Amino acid sequence: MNLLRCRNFAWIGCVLVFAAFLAVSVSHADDIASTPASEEAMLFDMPVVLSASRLSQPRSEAPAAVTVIDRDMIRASGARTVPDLLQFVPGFQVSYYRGYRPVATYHGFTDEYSRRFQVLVDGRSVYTTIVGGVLWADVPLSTQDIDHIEVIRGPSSATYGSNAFLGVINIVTVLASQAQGTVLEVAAGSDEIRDSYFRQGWKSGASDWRFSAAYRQDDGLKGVPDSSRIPVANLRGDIFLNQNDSLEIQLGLNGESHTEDGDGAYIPTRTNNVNSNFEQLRWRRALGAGEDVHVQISHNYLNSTDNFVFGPVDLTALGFGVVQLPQNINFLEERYDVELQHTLAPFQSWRFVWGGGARLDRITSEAYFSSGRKIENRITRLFGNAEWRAASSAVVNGGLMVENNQLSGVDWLPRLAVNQLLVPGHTLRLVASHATRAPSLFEDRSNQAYYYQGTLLWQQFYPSAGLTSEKMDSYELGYLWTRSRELAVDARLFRDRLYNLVTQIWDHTTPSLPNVPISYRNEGSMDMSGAEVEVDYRPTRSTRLFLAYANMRATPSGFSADTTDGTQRYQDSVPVYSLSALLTQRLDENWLLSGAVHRMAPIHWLGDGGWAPEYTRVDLRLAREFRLGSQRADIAVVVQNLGKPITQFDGQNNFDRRAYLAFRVAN
Amino acid sequence: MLDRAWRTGSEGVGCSQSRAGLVRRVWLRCIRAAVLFFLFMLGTNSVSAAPLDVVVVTSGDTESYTAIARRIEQEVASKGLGRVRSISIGNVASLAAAGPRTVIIAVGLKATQAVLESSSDAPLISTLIPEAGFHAATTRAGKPSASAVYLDQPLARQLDLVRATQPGSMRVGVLLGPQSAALLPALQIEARRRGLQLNVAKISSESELFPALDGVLKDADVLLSVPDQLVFNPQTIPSVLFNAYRHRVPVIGFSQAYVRAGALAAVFSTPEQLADDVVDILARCVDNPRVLPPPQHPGRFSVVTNDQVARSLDLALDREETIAQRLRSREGKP
Repeated sequence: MNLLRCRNFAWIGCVLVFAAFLAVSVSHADDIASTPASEEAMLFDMPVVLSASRLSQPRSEAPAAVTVIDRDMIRASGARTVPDLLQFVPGFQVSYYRGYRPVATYHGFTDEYSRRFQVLVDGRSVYTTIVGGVLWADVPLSTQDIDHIEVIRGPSSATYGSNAFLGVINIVTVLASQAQGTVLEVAAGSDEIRDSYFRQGWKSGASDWRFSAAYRQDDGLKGVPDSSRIPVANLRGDIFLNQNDSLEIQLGLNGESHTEDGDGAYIPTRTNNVNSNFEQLRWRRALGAGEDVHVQISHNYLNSTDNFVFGPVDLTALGFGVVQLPQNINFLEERYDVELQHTLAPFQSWRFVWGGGARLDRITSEAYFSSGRKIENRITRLFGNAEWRAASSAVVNGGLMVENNQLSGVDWLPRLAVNQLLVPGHTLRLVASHATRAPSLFEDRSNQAYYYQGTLLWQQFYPSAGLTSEKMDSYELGYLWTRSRELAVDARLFRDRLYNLVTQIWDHTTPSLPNVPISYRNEGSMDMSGAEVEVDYRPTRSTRLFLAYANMRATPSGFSADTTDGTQRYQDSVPVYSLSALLTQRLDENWLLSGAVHRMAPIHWLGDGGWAPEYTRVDLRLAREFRLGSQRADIAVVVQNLGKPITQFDGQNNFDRRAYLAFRVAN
Repeated sequence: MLDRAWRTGSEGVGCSQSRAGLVRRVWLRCIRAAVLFFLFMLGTNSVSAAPLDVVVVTSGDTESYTAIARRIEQEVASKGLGRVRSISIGNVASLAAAGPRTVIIAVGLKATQAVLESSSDAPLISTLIPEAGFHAATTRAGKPSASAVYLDQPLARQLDLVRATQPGSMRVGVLLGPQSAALLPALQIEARRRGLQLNVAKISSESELFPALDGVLKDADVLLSVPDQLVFNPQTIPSVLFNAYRHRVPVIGFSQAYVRAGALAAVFSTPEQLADDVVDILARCVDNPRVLPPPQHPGRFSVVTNDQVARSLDLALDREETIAQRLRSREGKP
């Protein structure tokens, strides 16, 4: 791939710079305290560090099933992206539309822009305004900066708003204080994999900081030009202002570019560029035992450009001859968000969290909306959750969110959950909730058309006649069994009824247009039910088995003949089962072996997707840990997909075997 | 036998008395009188001994120091042991003119160092001072016979607290620094006695702290904080607590402030409790104040817990007083 050769030099340059850092270890101010121990070593005062909002509910009291993918699993899996990690969550399916566009969904039923769950990074929403789904390659985040990923399986609109429809993914990054020192990682392998990562953490007075810069590259799926190059930089500061106040500051940049394939006729293969950045500030004040308040403000920016020449097209019938049509499929979006949350426990056995927020989404896209105007959408929300310890063995959680979305109106999103401890270590959980998903700006307003000298040639998407939110009633029966650190089993039976769905249709109401455009309409429902099981088993300190299994059944109904996908395909878009396992075994103090297995039933992806047959994927990782002087280091070899090529999202392109070697050193 | 003697004596009253019986009666009455006199002497011993001259020297004038001084004054007065006077560190030289009933109470390291450096040879009880600091000061001054009531708790009690708050725990993570490194052998003994496994990391500079902490947390059910200014100070503790919480590992602290910040529990002694222990020593040695008991860890202590953190980590904790009671009975105290 010619495009990549000059990029290789860039990567080599990065490695050399990093190697220079390798030789120089950054030293901090060393305090060698040889002073005699005085009472001041014990009598100092402290701010409240683990304040109420930093403490999560224990699993046995949480009003939902939560899967946590921790740092150990992230390393052992050999995964290079967040969607690859989501494969380990029961009920999740992951496939790649293109190398730069992974599709991660919960319980199937999605096209390439999976948009039925909320995704947060440190509490900041990262789904895009335009498609309502996450452009994973464009999130300014390095996998190495992730501490853990919490996935709430089940609607959480009561706490996180609409869009937390099927679930919530909350990616929590490493605190600056956990990242002190220097870390360097380089990786190279097949499919032109060239990754590098550098991080520096330091203290400055009462604050901790970390800065990381990363570069990730590969040439995507076999047989299609979809290589990507992703440089990312992040800065985080955690500051203790005084006894009670702390501040968290984060900044991030992502300058991703990728090759986008053409159609072999009119659309050429070309390079696209997406620039995104974010700024985030969170202020926390501890107010007393079990009480604190925090305010978070954030700004997201994303600018995507795709400029090419469509053609040559024969327009002689329209009197234009053979022409080239320059296209600028660009969009620029920004999000401003402010949220306040107050956590308090004023009485014995009661705990409250309440708050509110406002969001402004602003998007400009001539290509998608046939207008250079800025389109805005405002969302305001108010929420509250009460947790009542009804008895020493029962906890009741009642929550409500009221959200006003300019696009779809006011939605009331309640949830009621009861957790009953049966015997120590065994908890029963019953949850009933109502959730909504507001339509994305694209679903509501898209007006994508091709013109030539004022003449409309083709209307790709036509604006809808006004959409309301999708709705869901969800019921869950969950069972949690834990035995100290050794074993945790979380099983649940769910019954979800999704209705008033925002469905893509052929719009036959516009006969004056040269073609039948695509639009969106509220119609159809899906009854989904099934079971999910998650097992985390650690029989010894060296062995860990993590198992995730889901069984799903979907019954679509109420779809008209206008839908672009069709009722049968909706049913086929929910696979009957999906299974993942991760086994980690420490062979001795230096060697760590881990293996992952993924298996999924056949699935017919929607939109531009196709049939992906049943597959089994096996990944292996072998790491050797050692010391380089005072620094800890490891070398790992990772092989992804030991078996046959796996058909991906569009039913045509495959994920073949991939292997890479990674070297990491930290001091 | 005495019983029968009394009965014989009383039966004998009013009856015909032999000469032998008379001798026995007088002899027995002497014994009774002697016993009564001895009891009287025991009971009024304190009153009869000369009053102590208790001199309190404090290292500063913040709340902890003044609370101890106040409490010592109150208790010495209520027990009638003598009189208490306070002098500032600057006036330590005046202690050279101390009398035979003088006992110096040095509150804090600075006061202890000042008294040891002065030319006074009056008996010294140091308090509100960590064990390591006290030993360093007395060894340097070459005065091994000083007594103390340390500020830090005995390792045995801290490990008992680990047991009491997390009965299932097996592995205890410990981070030692230059001030606490010497405690390792004793810690190992106490841990072994309780069937606990230690996971220890020693550091000698701040840059080593987080890698060491990470290594320890990976392999621990609980993190025990052993006081050391390099390892646990207001700058490092927030990070220690965050990291431990991320690993779901509870932290055992060493002060109320530390528990309020986010440690699961701590066993500690208030200034009043330390003062009471000091006054106990004074009471025991009022007869011969020159011979003081060896330095000791505090006998009186309290337990404080953080219920929010306990709940978040899914740990059921008993009430603070219940835990304290359990620790006391383990030590054989009422």
